Amino acid sequence: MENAIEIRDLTKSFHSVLTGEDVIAVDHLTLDIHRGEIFGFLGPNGAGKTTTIKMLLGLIFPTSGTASILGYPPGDIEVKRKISYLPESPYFYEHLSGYEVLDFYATLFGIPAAERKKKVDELLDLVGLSDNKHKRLRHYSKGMLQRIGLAQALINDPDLLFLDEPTSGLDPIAHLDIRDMILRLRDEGRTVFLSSHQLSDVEMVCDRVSILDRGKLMRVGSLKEMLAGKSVEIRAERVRDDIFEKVKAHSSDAFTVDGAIRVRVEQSFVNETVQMIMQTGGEITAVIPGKRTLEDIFIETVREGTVS
Amino acid sequence: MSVTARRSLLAMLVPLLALVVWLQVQLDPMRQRYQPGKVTNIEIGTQFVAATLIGLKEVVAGLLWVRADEFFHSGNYAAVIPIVRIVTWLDPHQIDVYDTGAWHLSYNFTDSQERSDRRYIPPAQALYREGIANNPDIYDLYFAQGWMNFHKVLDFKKAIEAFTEANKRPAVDPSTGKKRMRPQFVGHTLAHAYRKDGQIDRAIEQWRQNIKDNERYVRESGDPGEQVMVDVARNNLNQLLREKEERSRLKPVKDAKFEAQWQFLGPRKFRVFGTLDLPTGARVRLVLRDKDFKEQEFQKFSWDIDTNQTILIDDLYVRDGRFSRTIDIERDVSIYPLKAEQYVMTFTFNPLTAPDFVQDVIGFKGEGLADQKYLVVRNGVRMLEKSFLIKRNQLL
Amino acid sequence: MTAWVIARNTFGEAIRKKILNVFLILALGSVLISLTFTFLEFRQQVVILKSFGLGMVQFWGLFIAIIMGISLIPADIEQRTIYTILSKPVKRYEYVLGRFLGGAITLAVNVALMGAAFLLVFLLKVNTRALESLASLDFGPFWTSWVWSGEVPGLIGGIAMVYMKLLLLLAVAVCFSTFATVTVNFFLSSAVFIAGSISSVTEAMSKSPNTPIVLRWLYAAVHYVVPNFGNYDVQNPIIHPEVPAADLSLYMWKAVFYGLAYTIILLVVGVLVFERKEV
Ligand SMILES: Nc1ncnc2c1ncn2[C@@H]1O[C@H](COP(=O)(O)OP(=O)(O)O)[C@@H](O)[C@H]1O
Ligand SMILES: [Mg+2]
Repeated sequence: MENAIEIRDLTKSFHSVLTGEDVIAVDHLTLDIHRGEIFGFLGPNGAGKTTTIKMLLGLIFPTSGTASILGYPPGDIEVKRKISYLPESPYFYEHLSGYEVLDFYATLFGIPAAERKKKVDELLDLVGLSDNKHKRLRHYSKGMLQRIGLAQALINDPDLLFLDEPTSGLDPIAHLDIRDMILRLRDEGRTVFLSSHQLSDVEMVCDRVSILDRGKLMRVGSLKEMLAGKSVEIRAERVRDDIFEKVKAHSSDAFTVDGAIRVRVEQSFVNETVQMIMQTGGEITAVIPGKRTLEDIFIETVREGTVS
Repeated sequence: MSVTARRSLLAMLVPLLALVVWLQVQLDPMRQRYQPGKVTNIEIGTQFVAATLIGLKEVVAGLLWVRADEFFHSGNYAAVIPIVRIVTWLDPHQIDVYDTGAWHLSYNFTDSQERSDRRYIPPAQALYREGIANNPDIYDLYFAQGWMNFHKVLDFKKAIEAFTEANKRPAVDPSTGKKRMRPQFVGHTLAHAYRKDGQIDRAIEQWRQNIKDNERYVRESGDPGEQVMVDVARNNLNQLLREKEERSRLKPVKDAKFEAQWQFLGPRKFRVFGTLDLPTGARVRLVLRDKDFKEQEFQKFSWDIDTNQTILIDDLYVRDGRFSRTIDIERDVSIYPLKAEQYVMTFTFNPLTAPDFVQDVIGFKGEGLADQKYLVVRNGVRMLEKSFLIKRNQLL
Repeated sequence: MTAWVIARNTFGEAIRKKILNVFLILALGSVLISLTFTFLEFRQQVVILKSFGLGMVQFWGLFIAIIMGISLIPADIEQRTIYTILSKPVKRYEYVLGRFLGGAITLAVNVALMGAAFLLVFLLKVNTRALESLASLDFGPFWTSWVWSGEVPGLIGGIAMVYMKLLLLLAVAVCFSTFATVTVNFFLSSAVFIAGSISSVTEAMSKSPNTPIVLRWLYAAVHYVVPNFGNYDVQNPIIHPEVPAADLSLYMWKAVFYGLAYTIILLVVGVLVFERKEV
């Protein structure tokens, strides 16, 4: 099977006792996640990301719609052997030490004692907690807890990982660690469902992304495609006027002062433009990737959603 | 969980509930045997009531009894009795509470001259009866009831009855919880009671039985130190045989010249005096009571006595052939309300209750008494008795 | 098996919580208090010690059972530790059973410790004389006068009855915790405990001709359907060994079966509710 997750018309509404209104947290979501990809599940706070993940794990139940995870229904005991979950700001039994908590989770997978010890030590090593493994989690920092969270999500060599905002609230160094870890997971052929509102992480690691806003899927596609066709700003000096005119024809935004130009061209036209300028004696002073980033897309999408 | 699994679990609930109800039906009739305590609506504080409801009756009983002890030490005897009532309701197997409660009733409500309020004797008897009904298998409360009748009421027939029951039953060792033979003093006291009642032959028989019982006690306890009680019983038997022998030869030769009189000293204050030519240490019993006084009867224990009744009992000590005492009940209006119109004042010398050295002179039952005046023979006992009929205004 | 792993972890969690030690100390303290009533007759002292021992094991055990019962599952939900557990290969019913079992073990250990402390105090009390000879360094009389009270088995039976009562209460609280909030559950479980404890009253009322017929049914319903905690109040014959108590052990076995059957009912209901619970 090609798809790790297939979501069809998945809807979840919560009834608010306070306001008496129904909140639609996830609204007819249809989405496929391919095997082996790192999928970025984006959306602002309150978009419905966590709600979606909890439905996929069988922790809460959809109001309507279906989902299939590795071919199983959510919450199926068999699929739970193959997947793992790192919740948003995870909490663990604080009375346990790092070692004990991982040992506990490993036992839940039925891993035999001898293997368990090896596995737990390996994981502690991997996430860099070997020195603190006998400390109670009560005395762990937030970053250390996040690493325990990652370790517990790896304990069963999962085919599919759900990571809910894995970098939120972490310092930049920890960010990098987590990013490296995710990249490694992809290299090992695992599928990662990564929810985030932290675009910088997603941008560097994800194959495909979707954008969710107020429960609705706004966009989905490969990251390359989404960023493709975007403009690049080129700055150059001593550009001949005829060349400027030529370039201007392809440009959305161009102007010149004494042979120094600044133009904005489509990405597909960058090479051609640069060559033309250089071959005619011009000097490129800067090629600046267009300001359109994932962030632009994100903001644009969310804003469009708001307007419409 | 599959729908089928859910359905089967739901279906399982039905037979399980049926099983539970069935077991409850089985348990109910048995349960009452093990839960003798009653929940009461008497004021004991909400937290205590709540505790009794959730299976802590015995704890509440214990706490209340500890509190009762404080009242006792502060002299507040009246507060002790209601607690006795509640405690024995909560836990009807609190033997010592019955005993202590009845003892309070019969001894501790006293007037300003230390005479006890006799109107509390019937409640004490009722409390003993209730305690015995609830704890009929061990000697303790029979003995305690007997002792009150023996020592306080001087009703030896009743005492013999109770001691006889006590003497059939075992004791329980508080350290091991196991039954064991009752202490030897039970049989001894029964023999003394027979003797006091003038049943000398029964007393002799009982001493013989006591010797056997005590020997068995020594064997069973394996404690040679207990041998001393065998010896005590032997001595008592021998002494009684000797006394019987000596006193059987007595003839009515001793005229005790019994005379008694009373004199008004002021409201609720009078002097009683008289002569009795017997050795110092003899006693004359004074009873002042309503003319139509009838002892109250209690079917169930209650301390709700008839406060209109008056009964005063005192023992007048004879010294050098005379007795005299000033009875001052001015401050004891609640005990002696004097509400009746007429009263009977009786002076009695009863040989049965006389000490040994007096009986040496007059015999067990007054066989040696030669008095003509005031002699009455009751149940074969030759007593001396003089009564006055008094009007209320003669005392006030 | 998985339930057992969760149970073990639950137990580990409980014993590392200081709060249970506090109850243990309170229980021991309240038993020791009864030793100070030396102004009473010796027999009365022993009776009060036994009453207090069994009563206090129950009293403090009630707190342990209710506090654990109402919080075992909600604490996991509140602290979100349940996410990482239920997303592992753990069936929901295994989780509920595991939490309950862990609580039951914790309760058993606590009751056993409180009970053992009480029995120790009791043995020392009934051996006051032997101990006095020990204090005077006279070991001979110590050995000969020490008694192994024949009441110990009865008292252990009494402690077992207390445990069954507390176990049933734990099951009630765990069952309710699958749908009620902690605060609501505290009052709910307490109310059920009281309603189920006054079984002698409910039984009498349901049979009394003075009760209106509708109320009679109501009392009968309370008596037969609400878990009957009053069934376990058999301390009186245990406190008073001189009182004949026919068929007491038969009764106790039936009461144990009753408790186990009811516990299963409560767990089934709890599991059915929890299966559908959003965490
Ligand atoms: N248990 C719940 N009860 C009521 N509303 C909820 C509940 N869980 C989430 N929501 C609401 O659903 C929406 C989506 O929440 P969530 O999935 O947590 O968003 P995200 O993870 O994307 O930040 C929010 O409006 C949130 O308030
Ligand atoms: Mg979220």
